[in-house]
Amino acid sequence: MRSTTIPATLAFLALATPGLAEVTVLGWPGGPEETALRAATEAYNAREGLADEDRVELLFTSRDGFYDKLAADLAAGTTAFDAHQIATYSIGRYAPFMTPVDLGPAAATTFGESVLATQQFDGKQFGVPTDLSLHFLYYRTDLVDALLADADAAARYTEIAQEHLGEALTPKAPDEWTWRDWAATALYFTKAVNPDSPTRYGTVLQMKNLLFNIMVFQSLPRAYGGDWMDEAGNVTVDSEAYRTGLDLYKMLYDAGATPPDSTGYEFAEANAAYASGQVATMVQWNAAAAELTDPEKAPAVAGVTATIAPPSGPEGRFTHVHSLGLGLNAAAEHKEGAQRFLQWLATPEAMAIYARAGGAPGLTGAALEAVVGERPDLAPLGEYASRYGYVMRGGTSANALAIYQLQAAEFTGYWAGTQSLDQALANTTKGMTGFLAGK
Amino acid sequence: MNALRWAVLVIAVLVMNMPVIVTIVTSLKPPAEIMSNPGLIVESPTLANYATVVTVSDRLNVWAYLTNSVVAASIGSLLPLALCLPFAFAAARRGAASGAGCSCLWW
Amino acid sequence: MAPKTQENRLLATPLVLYLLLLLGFPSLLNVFYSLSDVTFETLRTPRLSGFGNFAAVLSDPAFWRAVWFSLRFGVLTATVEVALGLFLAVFLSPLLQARPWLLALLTLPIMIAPAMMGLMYRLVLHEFVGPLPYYLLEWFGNSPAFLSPGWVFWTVCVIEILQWTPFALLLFHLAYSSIPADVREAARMDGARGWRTFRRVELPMLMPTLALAAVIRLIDGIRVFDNIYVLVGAGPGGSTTSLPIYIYTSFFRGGSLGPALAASVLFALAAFAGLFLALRAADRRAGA
Repeated sequence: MRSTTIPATLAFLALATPGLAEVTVLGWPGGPEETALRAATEAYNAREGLADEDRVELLFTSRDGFYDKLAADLAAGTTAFDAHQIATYSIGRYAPFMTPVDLGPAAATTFGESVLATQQFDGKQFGVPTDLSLHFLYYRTDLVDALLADADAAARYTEIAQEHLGEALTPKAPDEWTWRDWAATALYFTKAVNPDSPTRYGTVLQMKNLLFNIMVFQSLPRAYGGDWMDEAGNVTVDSEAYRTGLDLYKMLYDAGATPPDSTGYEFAEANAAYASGQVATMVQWNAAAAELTDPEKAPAVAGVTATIAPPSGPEGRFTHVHSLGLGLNAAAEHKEGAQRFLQWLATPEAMAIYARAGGAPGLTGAALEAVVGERPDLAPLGEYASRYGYVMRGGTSANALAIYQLQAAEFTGYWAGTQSLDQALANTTKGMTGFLAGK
Repeated sequence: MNALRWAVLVIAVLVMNMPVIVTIVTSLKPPAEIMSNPGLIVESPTLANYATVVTVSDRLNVWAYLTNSVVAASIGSLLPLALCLPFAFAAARRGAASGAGCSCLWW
Repeated sequence: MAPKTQENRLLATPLVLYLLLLLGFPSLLNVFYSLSDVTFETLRTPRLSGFGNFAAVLSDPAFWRAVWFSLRFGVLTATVEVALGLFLAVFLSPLLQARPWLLALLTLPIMIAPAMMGLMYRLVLHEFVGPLPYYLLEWFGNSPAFLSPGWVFWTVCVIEILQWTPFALLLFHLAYSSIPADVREAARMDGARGWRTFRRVELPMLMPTLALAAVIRLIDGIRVFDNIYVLVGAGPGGSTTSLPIYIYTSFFRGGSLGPALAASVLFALAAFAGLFLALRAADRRAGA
């Protein structure tokens, strides 16, 4: 059984035709980022006075295995694309194969320093932040309002909270929720716990063994003070904060507050569950907002879904934030042309086109003003990113992706009941120590 | 007895092909119905999905993908034939129970 | 050299060259990398470092879990597929002889890419938009959680069995229908009928096909990747990690590539050893 990557890479190299008089950009496929990039590229190519060799051509593959394929291509020194997609958590991994990019003076006024920082590594700017990704708490306004208005329901809610969480919580407005309030609400809206519940499940957790699901999860331990490392560089995953977070998820799963298939759920399945109308709350990426509030795509929930920042904990209110962006391939053949395209993308005009076509950039100032009329959801996006956004210490290191994958394997193992919490945290600490030491 | 055979045949075909049947049924549903009606009886059948797939767009060019598949499948079936026929002929002539036979099975 | 031998050599050359280039060269490279210290950044400058990677893999509990998963999966699915395929081929043979086009309906599943099967089952088994849980809830009031840790192994086994039983069915159908009619007539004249004919006369004639089907399905079951990976990935806590999935995930885990390649070399050696022993046993049986 041989690895098929080496022959595949050789084959890919053979196919990478050199000498195309065009700039090729490998984008993030299959979503609003793709539609937005296509619109922006069309506008760029239609500009007057654009030299022929600066025309931009787009390349899209598929999301499955995207990062693995990108790693193989860059390691082989491919010239098939000049610029490619990167994300905050993967810059460290791909930086050895990339060239820092000069985005020009417009970038700071378009995005603001903190958003630009999400595409920096080792003090250098590696990409233009085209989309901001963070998490919202999605909830059913009709169900929550009914709960808040009904005294009997509130009593039942308090009963359930006392039984499962050991604390007599009372229903509150979602914007004031702590993670324990959210858990109590999820239990209240679960048929298995509360037979009078209008929905089958109070929440849907994404517990598939997938690195992105850990990003969704980790705002919870963060709100209790959790971090990957302390200042001295010791791995601090085996902490009260992480144990509390992991136990909360496990409690909800065991109580039936999330579908039993959740151990195989990621973005698409969770959205399908919520859109069916049988789920009351969900912590999910902001990218789902467009689909879940569209009456054509999710008729059962579109009109009664609201989005706010995730709940708060004793150490504050946090949402994991990262950006998707485009950076330069060090082996590129049309570097100047690609650089010019990326510089153009960092201007307010380009970002206006990008935002109108469905992208979700973190804009500020005049750039935000220009599009907030058509994309009102971009305002809270920028606000949440700057107020609640965090990056774990070590979250942009070279092995960040590997760390997320390790956590995904270990944490989902605990949630699924295949190993104990101590075992999971011990394995995670051991693996992370190796990865963060640069092994 | 024959009736039993037919029954077993129909059940086998339906059970083994279930995902294909479900995919076909789902392809006839508009997006809103997919979310709300998981059953196999389509409430408002539509061919709009097929129209989207067949139209060439930036996002989707099914004709290009089909061409790729045909080319890959052709090479994948004709190349081994071309390479192995002469080899098999030589091996059979020499007698199959030799080392050549063993390496033939090493796929 | 006899002209026939020279001609034979010439006829054998294209295949041998092709295998050397596309199978031999990458395999050698694989072995070389498995004995070196190499990362994505040092792909072209690996450092030979001895058997460290093999030690790392053999002491990794995840590796042994993956081996155990692949073995259980392979043996279970191969056994059921062969048994079911044999039963269907023999039981349905009058129908298939009369109407050969029915075979197309029965073998449709094997025409579908396993990755597509995984994707289609994601839809079929989904609690909220899939028909299977929907109808089970309607008829029985309860539907198992197909992808939950307690059920997921059986789910992926069933998916594999449903897709590949037609392969065994096809092999058996071809073998069964090529049993000459006079053999059956002779058996009938000797007083045997039905089950006895099958057990004493037909089944022994199907043995080579059975062995072939079992071996092929076992090998395919052990190297299962596509449908499981698309449906559940590596599984919660790595519970649906087959050996190929283990090799794939550890290859891209970041850091050294050596251990993953060492695992793949071990896999190849084990497979080769197994196949060699099986062929020796078959040869001996044929000889005796």
